[in-house]
Amino acid sequence: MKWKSGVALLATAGVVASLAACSASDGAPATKLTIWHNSADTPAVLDLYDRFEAESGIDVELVDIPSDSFETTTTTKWATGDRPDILEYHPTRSLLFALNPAQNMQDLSDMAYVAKSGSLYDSMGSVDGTVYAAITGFPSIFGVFYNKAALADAGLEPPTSFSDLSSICDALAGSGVAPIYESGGSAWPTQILPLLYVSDSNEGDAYGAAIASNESALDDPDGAFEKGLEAYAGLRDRGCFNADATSATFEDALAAVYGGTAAMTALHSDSYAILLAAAGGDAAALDAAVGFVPVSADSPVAAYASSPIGTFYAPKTGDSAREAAAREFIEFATGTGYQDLVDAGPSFPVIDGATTPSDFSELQLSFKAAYDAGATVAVNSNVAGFGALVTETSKLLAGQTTPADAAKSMQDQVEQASIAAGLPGW
Amino acid sequence: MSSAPHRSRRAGHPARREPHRTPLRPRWIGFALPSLVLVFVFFVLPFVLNVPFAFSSWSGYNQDVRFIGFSNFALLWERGILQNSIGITVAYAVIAMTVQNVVSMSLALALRRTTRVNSVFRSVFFLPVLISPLAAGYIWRAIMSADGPLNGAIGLFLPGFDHAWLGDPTSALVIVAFVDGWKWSGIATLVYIAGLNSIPASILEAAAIDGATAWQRFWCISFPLLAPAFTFNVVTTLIGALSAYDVVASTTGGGPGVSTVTLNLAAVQQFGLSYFGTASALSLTVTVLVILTAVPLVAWLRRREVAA
Repeated sequence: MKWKSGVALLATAGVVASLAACSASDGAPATKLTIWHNSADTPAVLDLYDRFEAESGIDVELVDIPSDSFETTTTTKWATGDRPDILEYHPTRSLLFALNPAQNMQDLSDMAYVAKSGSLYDSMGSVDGTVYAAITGFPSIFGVFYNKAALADAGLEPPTSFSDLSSICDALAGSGVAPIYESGGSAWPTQILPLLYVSDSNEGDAYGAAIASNESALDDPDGAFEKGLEAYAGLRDRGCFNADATSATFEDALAAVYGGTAAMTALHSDSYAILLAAAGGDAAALDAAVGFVPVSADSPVAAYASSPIGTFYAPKTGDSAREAAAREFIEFATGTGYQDLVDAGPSFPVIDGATTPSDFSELQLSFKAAYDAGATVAVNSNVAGFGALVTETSKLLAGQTTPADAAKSMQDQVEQASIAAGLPGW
Repeated sequence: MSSAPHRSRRAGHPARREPHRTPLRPRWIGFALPSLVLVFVFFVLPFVLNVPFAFSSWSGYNQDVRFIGFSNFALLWERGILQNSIGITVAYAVIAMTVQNVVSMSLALALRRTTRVNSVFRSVFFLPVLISPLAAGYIWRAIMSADGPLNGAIGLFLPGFDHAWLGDPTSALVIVAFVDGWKWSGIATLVYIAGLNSIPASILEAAAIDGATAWQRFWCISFPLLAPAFTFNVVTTLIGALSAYDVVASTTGGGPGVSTVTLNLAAVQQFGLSYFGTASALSLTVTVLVILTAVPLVAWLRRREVAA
């Protein structure tokens, strides 16, 4: 029996030693910080990590999460119990719920940047009034990019509503220019037109909140969501989309609109860098060729959603020194390091106290104008289970479902996720 | 094993000698042990530990993981995900398996003799096996795009031709399965070449002297004697294609709509939505599908080998 007790003693010692190593809360400051970051981080955000490293003396270890499968890779790693010190991720509640923030994230509500961000955290990065995210980037603005010459040559004005989209589509029929370039090959862009349709019904996120709390249903035939899906299917049936709409990518869409082979495409403002690359880096040439307008069901209202790029969370890791270092990083990113981040973008600041850079292009200013003109938060942002929308809109584009069936499927998925998350109203 | 004598009798060879089986001596177990340990640790254990998740409420939304019976399967069925992805996976696997075996059998017959030229071509046709499946998928995606080189070539004869090959539900599934077949047929070709070269030349020469045509020599002599290689290739290509993910993910990502969402792709999509229970249920379905397909198929093909 002697050897058995020896083995037991060794095993116990091993477990105790490893637990001690895990908690490491012996008061010593952290020397290393692990950040799971989106591989599509802008140079300005990458520079932020470097500047924090230099300023704090804490080593930053960047773990690349491929932007192509960003959500899946993050949730897969997350599900294994693995946790970074800083997580760069979406601030939308629909995706935040899936990380169970109350259980897994540090509460950042008392940090200085929250009070200096206006009402941003009313609709983003928070759950039940508790702020978990630190948003440093200007939101992605969803709207319609259009080729100025393609519309002007046909005597057309930029669209402001879905009926404008239809009339432009009819006017361009047979002209050889695809009225609306849709990118089903990238899948996610197929959500944008249906979401834009809803944006003028979602002032103050009222419609989204009603869906989230089960007061309204997505499969209500008179509701804005199902009508948006019907409008999308209507554009498809009218022949408004490019012939390869189900397989083309959003990069193709941007190139087509810049090149004038397509008149319009519905995408978000973060596509700017790709458009600029298509224009050979010439911002003036891009401004001359391409414009951006907000479009919704009946009026020019854009939708916005804060981007995962530059949005940071501090997960609970059980290591108090590293949790403190994570807060130090967030303090830096939203405080002393923020002006440089904004200037390096350049981007429009979302935290009071930073000054707006002056060197924006006309197209970038049109994103800001669309936001300031009453853009509403994208309706899918704050509803649990809305992540499945991309599958439904892809099927709708390919003619594999009907608007009513897609709306019903979405309502089922919202119900499933909301019940799983234990949300009020379900 | 115990059914082996049965097989002999049914095959009409009552006097046929059973394969000589040497009982495993204890001292040989030491050699098998590393493999057994590896299979147990890296396959059996994870698989067994994963099975319960398919019947659990595990999701990213809360910490509560409860046993919920077959609810995950019922939910997937109700949403049409299970039956759709099973159908697509089976169709994909059958097409990919057929393409691989037809192509590789033809190549093996053409490159059977070991000459310098044939060696070069064998290497060339093996090259796709060495390419990353993701890279292969992206390359084919570019080739098949509406403004890609394939349509460009067709456009030389049919001006203005711009069919979106990967945008049409039927052609997308067939093309993706073809890409899978193209990607892996190099391995099957080598197996068939080895099988063909193990057939005694004297039998084929005798048949030729007796006036058998090339087709008769292949169909009546080579093909039956290739039975072990055929079994191996059919089973491995089918099982490989049932587990398809990478080529599909990089070529169509499951589109258009859900036309090429195989079981593994559906599992990844569920995982991405943080529904780990339903994702596990889909993964278990892949395993069950592979076992249900492979076991009877191997048994049937082995019986054919004995008959041959």
